[in-house]
This record gives sequence, structure tokens and C-alpha cells, in this order.
Amino acid sequence: MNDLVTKAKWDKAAKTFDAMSGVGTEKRWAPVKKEFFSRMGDGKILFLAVGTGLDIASFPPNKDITGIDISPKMLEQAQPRANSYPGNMTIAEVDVLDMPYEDNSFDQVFTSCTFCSVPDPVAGLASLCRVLKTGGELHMFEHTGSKIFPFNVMLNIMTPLTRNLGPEMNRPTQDNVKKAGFSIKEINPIYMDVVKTIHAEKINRSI
Amino acid sequence: METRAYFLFGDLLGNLVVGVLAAVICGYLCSGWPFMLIGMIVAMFLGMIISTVLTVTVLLKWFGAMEVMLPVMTTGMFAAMAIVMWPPGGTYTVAGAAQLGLMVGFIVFVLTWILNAVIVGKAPA
Repeated sequence: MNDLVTKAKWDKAAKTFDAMSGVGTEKRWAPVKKEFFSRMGDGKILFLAVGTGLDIASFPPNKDITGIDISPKMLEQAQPRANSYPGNMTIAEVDVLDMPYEDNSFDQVFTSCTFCSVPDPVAGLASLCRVLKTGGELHMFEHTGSKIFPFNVMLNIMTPLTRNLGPEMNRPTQDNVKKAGFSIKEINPIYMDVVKTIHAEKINRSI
Repeated sequence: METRAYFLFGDLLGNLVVGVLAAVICGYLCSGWPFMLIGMIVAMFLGMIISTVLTVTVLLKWFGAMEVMLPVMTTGMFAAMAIVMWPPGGTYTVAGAAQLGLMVGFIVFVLTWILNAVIVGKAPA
């Protein structure tokens, strides 16, 4: 695992992550995330970027979930939440660009506000594609750039500032999903064209 | 589209407060400059900074992320620019700036709510 910069950034953010999320973000998104994570099926599930485990409360019970994150400080906070999950959940310190899992080993992958922060998002998505079975599902809850003025201007101005603290604000995530070898099945806007869920499938072709 | 009273209240409050702050502060600092265009551009950035500070320190924690940040930053930008371009009564006063800021904040709150409702596919009747 070589991405020490990203690891250090999120280790630093871990101390204040829950406080910053606070009541607002998690409460506002709770109904949407409940519906989003209800798509978890009965096979092997990979959850990328567990963070402090705030999303675990929205997971349906009795699933088989492997949660990974690059930040050990985040995982320290996530561990009690993972331990309380009513199903089979393990969490591990793993870099998405260097995953130890076999090809075609997961049935589903879920991400939640992750691909605003992965340094090389197409490579990260391609790595997820590798570990997914053919026909396997990718489900993403993400915030992306916008095509609407003045939001596009504001997000472009903010990104150089936010990049050092955490997320980028103007990522073209659905384009990145396609570049990584997925076929997009569904995009559901949650807020403007910025917050959305993206549902895709691994198609049978070499990357 | 958002219909929960708590978050509607938070969105409205955020836009009104940022509108007032941006208009009052930026109007005080940037009104009456020899070159209005430069004053507007500086005010626009100041308005964004004011809205970002309020969002990150208070609003995000209580009311949400993008749903708060995007309208509030829009309000900050436009309230700041508006006070430089059109100070009520022709000259800057704190009361006039506050009124203009409230108006911009309310308009942005309503327009972004409608735009979001249309985009998410559940436009109001």
C-alpha cells in the first residue's frame, strides 16, 4: 500500500469526521441511504470506504459484507459499529488500488461519497470491476460536478481548496464509471444533478 | 424534493442569514468603488467566502451538505454582487443591505427548491 498522502489526509480527518457530519448530513440522507442500501443482496458484498462506519446503521441485516478503508484511524472508529452490525461484517485496512481479493470474488460493490476522494478514480473503479463477478452490481451514492450554472462554477472554484482537506467537488463520476468498464443501468438524482445514486453492472469484456 | 419542516426551516434560515451577512459586509467593503465591475467581482468572492464559513461551521452540522451549501453559496455570491450593483436608495445603508440580502436569500431558496423538484422529477403542481 503506497498512497500515504491519501491515508494521512483521512487519518487527520478522522478526528472530526463524525462531528462535521453531525445531525445534518446523516439525518438528511437517512431515508435515501436506507433505500439505497436495501439493494444489498444475499451474495458477497464489498463496501468501499467504510470511514467511521456511519453508513452501517443503514445496512439491512443478515448480509455478508467486507468493508475496506485506507485510513486506520477511520477504521478504529468504525470497528464498534461493525461489531454491532446484525450480520456478517468484517472491516480491513485496504487501498482500493491494491486490493488483495481474487478476481470475480464479489457479487456487489457499494460506495458512499467515496469517489470524490479516490486520487485516481478510474483506476479505483477499474479495480472494483476486477473483483466483481461478471454481471455483478456496482451501487454508488455520490456527489459529483454539475452542469448547472452557477453550481458548476462554484464547485470548480471550491475543488482546489477542498482537495487538500478531503473531497473534490467536481468529479465526472458517471463518466469515470463508464471508462472503468461498467455499463450504467440507472442514475437517480437526489439533489440537483450533484448528489445522485449510480447503479451499474460489470459487463463481460477485458479492461 | 425536500418537504421535511426541519430541513426546509434550515435551508430558509441559512439563505436568509447568509444573504444578510453577505450584503451587509460586502456592501460596506465594496460599494462605491471607482470601478463597479471590480467591486462586484471582489464582492462575489467575498460572498462565497462568507457563505462557506457559515456553512462549514454551523449549517453543515445541523442541516446537511450539498443541499445547504449550493443554495447558500449562490445566495452569498448574488447578494454580494447585488448590493454593489444596486444599493437600495442609491447609496449603501446597513438596513437597505440587509433588506436586499433577505430578498436575495428568499428568492434563491425558492428557485433552488423548485429547480431541485423539477430535476428529481417531482415538480410541484
